[in-house]
Amino acid sequence: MIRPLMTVTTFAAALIVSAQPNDAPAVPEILRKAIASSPHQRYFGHLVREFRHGAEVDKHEEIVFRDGQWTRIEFPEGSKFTGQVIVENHRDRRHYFPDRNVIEVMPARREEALGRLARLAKSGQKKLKISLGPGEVVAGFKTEQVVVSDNEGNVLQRIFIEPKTGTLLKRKLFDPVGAPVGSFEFTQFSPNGRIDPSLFTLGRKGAKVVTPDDKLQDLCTANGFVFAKLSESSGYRLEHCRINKVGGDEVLMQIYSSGPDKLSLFQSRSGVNASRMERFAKDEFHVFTWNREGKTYTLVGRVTDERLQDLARLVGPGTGQ
Amino acid sequence: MNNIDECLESEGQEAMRQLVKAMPEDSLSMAWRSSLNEKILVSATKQKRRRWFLNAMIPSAGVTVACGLALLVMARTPSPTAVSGRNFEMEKSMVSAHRMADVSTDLSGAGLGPSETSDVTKGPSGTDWNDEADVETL
Repeated sequence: MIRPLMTVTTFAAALIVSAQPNDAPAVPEILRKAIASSPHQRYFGHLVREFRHGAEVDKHEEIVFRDGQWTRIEFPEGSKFTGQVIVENHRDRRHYFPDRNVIEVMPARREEALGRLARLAKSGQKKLKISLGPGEVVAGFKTEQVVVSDNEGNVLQRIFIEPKTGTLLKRKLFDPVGAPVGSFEFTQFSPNGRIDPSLFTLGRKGAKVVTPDDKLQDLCTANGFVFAKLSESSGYRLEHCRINKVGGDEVLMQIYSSGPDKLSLFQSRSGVNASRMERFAKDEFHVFTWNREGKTYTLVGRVTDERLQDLARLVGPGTGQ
Repeated sequence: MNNIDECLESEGQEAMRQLVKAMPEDSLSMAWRSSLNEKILVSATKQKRRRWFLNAMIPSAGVTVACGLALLVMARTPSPTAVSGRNFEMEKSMVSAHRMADVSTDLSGAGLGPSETSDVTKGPSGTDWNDEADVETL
């Protein structure tokens, strides 16, 4: 079952890269190799991940076991995530929280990591430049650097790829003024070793399995929102949800995915100016808003206005736990 | 023409002429005219007052209705500046949050994403969007 899927994924990635329109940036060979080899990579390693939240930077270490479509992630002793385990296959991502004895199940997302870049390269809509830069030694391995920048030469991403396996050993994202938004970097990397398949099972008797729908229902009940969601018949799966606060107002945010495509559904108590949002989105995303039962719903995504309106019709009451 | 002259000098016409001459001559009553003038004056004054009243009252009524409507609208909605400012932040934050969600898997893959690392430190109740990085054109 997995082998045909891997073949199809590889074929699709090759098609995406080869079917570029004339105005799309040229994709360097090393990046093609990374995209094509992604479903087959096998390695063990340690990496450091960083995310910037305003002035603060969250930094943590992960221990990664990877065998094709399977990935297991643990956290070293002393980490604030120690004891948590993540296991992902081609379909699901299962995340165990020992303190709550909960396993959260959500859609797999590893395959999205390069899919989005491949799609941007294909469409040329962002007018990206993709070029090669000087490589670095990362975790003891020589790498080649791929630089993604805008037409004005502002660097948006730096990707460091190990050329033999096509593995991304380091990736950095920057904001429009050059400040780092986040990054990951391997500090230890062991390619092609045998990995015990039993590492990719995650089960614990007595643990409560929580789906994104369960989490959504809990959030809605606790914060006075309507339990409404996008139907799975849309092709999108609920990945994550959370309450965000803007100047005292609470907004429920649901994040859906369909392959590399992301869609956000917001539910707020106050009105939203869709045209103003479109201006902020700068033609990158489209926005559709509507009101129902005293709440304002807003869909944001990288799809057409017509598609957003169709998807809005598929937002309805969620099913119970 | 001759026929008309003849008719005017006929006996019947002459008798009528004598009859009219014989009627008593009335003099015009000044008291009646004075009374009429007074009535006209009173009537004109009343009309003038009514016109002034209407000229003053119609715009006043309009202004009063407009003020009432304005008060009603202002009482029902927060001040325009506050709404505009709040929504400005709300909409900017929503777009920024979607951008972050859109690019987060570029960095996190199967590992922890930015919302999961911040959930640990800030709790599951919510994240302040004003603390989110704006990844703009990524």
